[in-house]
Amino acid sequence: MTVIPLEWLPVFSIILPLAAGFILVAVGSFVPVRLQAWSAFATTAVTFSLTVSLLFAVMDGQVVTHQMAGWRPPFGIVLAVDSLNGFVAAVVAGITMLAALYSIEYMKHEGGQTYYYALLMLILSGMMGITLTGDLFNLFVFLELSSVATYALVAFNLDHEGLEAGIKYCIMGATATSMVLLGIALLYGALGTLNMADIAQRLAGERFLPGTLEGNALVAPLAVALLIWGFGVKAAVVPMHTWLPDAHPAAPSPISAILSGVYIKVGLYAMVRVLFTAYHVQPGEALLIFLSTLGVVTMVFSGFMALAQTDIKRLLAFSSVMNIGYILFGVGIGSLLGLTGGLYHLLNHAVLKSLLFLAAGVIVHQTGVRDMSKLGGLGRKMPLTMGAFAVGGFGIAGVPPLNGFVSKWIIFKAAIETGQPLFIFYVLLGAVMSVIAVAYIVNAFRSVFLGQLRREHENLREAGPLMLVPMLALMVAAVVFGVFPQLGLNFVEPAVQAALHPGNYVEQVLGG
Amino acid sequence: MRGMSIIVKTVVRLIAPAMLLVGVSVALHGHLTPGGGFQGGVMLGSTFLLLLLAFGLDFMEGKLGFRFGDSLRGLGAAMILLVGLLGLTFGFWFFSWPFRNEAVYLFGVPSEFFSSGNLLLYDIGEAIHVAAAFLIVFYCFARK
Amino acid sequence: MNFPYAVSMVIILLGLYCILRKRNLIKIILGMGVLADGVNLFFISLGYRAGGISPVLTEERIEHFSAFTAAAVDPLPQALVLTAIVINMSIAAFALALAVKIYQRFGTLDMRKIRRLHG
Repeated sequence: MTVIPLEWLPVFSIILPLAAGFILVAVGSFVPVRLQAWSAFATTAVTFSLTVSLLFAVMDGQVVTHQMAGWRPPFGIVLAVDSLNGFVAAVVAGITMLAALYSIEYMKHEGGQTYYYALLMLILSGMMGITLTGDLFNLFVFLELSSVATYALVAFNLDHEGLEAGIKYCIMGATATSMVLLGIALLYGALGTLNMADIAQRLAGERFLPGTLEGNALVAPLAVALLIWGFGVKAAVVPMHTWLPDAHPAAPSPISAILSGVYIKVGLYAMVRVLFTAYHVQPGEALLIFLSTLGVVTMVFSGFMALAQTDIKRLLAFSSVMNIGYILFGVGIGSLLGLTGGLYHLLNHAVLKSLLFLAAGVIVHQTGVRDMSKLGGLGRKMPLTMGAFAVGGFGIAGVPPLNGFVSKWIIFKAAIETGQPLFIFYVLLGAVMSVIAVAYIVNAFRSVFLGQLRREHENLREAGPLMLVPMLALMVAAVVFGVFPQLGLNFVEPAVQAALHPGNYVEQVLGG
Repeated sequence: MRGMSIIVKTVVRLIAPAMLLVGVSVALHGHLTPGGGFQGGVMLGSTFLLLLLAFGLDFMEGKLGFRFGDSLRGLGAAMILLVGLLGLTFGFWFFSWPFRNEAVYLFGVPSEFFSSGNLLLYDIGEAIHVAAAFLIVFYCFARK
Repeated sequence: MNFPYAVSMVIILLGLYCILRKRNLIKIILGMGVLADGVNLFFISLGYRAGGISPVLTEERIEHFSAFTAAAVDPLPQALVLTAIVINMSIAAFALALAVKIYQRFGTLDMRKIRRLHG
């Protein structure tokens, strides 16, 4: 990467999908649909390669910053990439790329593909913006950008389910982002800055602006509560999760994979960034213990809800909520090991859950049925899909050779290492929930792939190669990250260091 | 959607040009005085809404088609992107002023139209984009 | 207690009440708008300063720059709120479009009658 300066990469990874989205809408009526689909995939691939080169550049602790219009950092908007958000951005772009490749075949016979790909590009652009920016208000803008695109994609089919889920998600999401804005307003009123590095510095030094909000001890906690509320809705943490089990199944399957695989992680990343960088919380603080409690509640509640589902995509959606619980539990421990487990589970869950949704998408695409009681014996007709579902499902449940096991193990180990009775109790709950996860995955697997093949499914065929390639890639990733965890942890460890020691980030952003 | 009565049409015929001019003026002076591309664009958009309500959908689409609005919107977005990329290529930072050898930051002077660099181009692009987007939104609702 | 802050808090609570308690979809969408406007009002009033002047630089103001910065209101919240208004406008447009589609399909805007999914 000598041709393009390193500082330009974050800008390009945001504006490339954005521009591609606008161009797709503009030329949509006179360019063949197939070309549009492939160019959308090409855009995501280029974005992925940009984020990967960014990730390798920032792994050694360098912070790449881009100052918008040349305004020095606390004053202007700055894009700042350290190993934490470089890692998240690479995961996001990678999964989106595979989902876009899968969409080419999946959406082949659907109408409105131009808008589908344009909205997909907008989601990617928004997620890149959320992860790469170093400015709180800019984060809010990109959050809204990607949110509007996801509302539209959830309602994309314009059927009963899509409309209802879409409006529900829209109402909850818009309320949540209003709360995020209120939190940002409180922080701005108290500190007079929006740059996250500057917020961190001023909060640490308690340099509040003179004014009405000065000396009010309530402002900073209230702001963080509002931000956790807002980002918690986006990340589907339990009391705020009710939109997810409706919205994720209603969307087309590749979009379900993006929403469940990476979009909720972006909300979680925003939470981690605000808590660890701006507020610089320490392990054992009440806020973090509250978060891990929230995580455990999330995992217990949604685990039992998943057991009761008959719709395969709804089951997977509840399983996503459950795994958000695991990640939040790991993050809430707040120690080096806890965050490592949490962030590694973020990567693993992104891989596994998008794999599962893509496999479920094959089933929905080939049979048109989502109700598991109306399926059966598909394993003989679709051996590869069965393999993908098995790898994804057992990975999610935490069966040893796969990657889900490694990250759950690290989280539990971190919790036990704290030696606190509360966390050890949580580990017990988490282990029980893992067994329940095995139960519902085995149940789904048995009723879809084993048993009697139904007569109407006699002449089913395996999905086309374009749908199988992304699934194979994800399967390989799941096995590799499980057998050689060090490969994944190489990327996670710098990210954890960046989260735990924000001093480097603050110094380089404000000094650069 | 049909138009309204002759009284409404006559009044709108009187008001609309003034609204358009105010919108354009606000958009073009956004870099120097309060206002800007978005505010000007909203004024243009509300002019379109007024015309749409008074004269009906068919009249409006005859003058300013849906596809034309769509391409206008693309033009506005392209102008904004162009400003950004020009800044990126010549000034290293996105949106920066490309010719920054004498002064790093340009302060606009309210009486001089071309005194604040590429912000003018940005504002025009934004106004076009916003007005066209509003037009499209109103068309979508009017067609139902 | 600062008066604009109190008013904006009342508006925010009103918006939340509207979203949570109303059954008609249009009223809920209006509630979303009210909530967002409350937040915007709060943000705008943060930048206000009693007796402040407009934050527009002119030549004579550049000459007395420190006096200008001491007297001018904060322009940043205004720019940010403008952005937030744009976003709220697009969300309102999208939600209303969805409401139109819902009315076409269900013949009602009552959320309790539309509601079939439970999660």
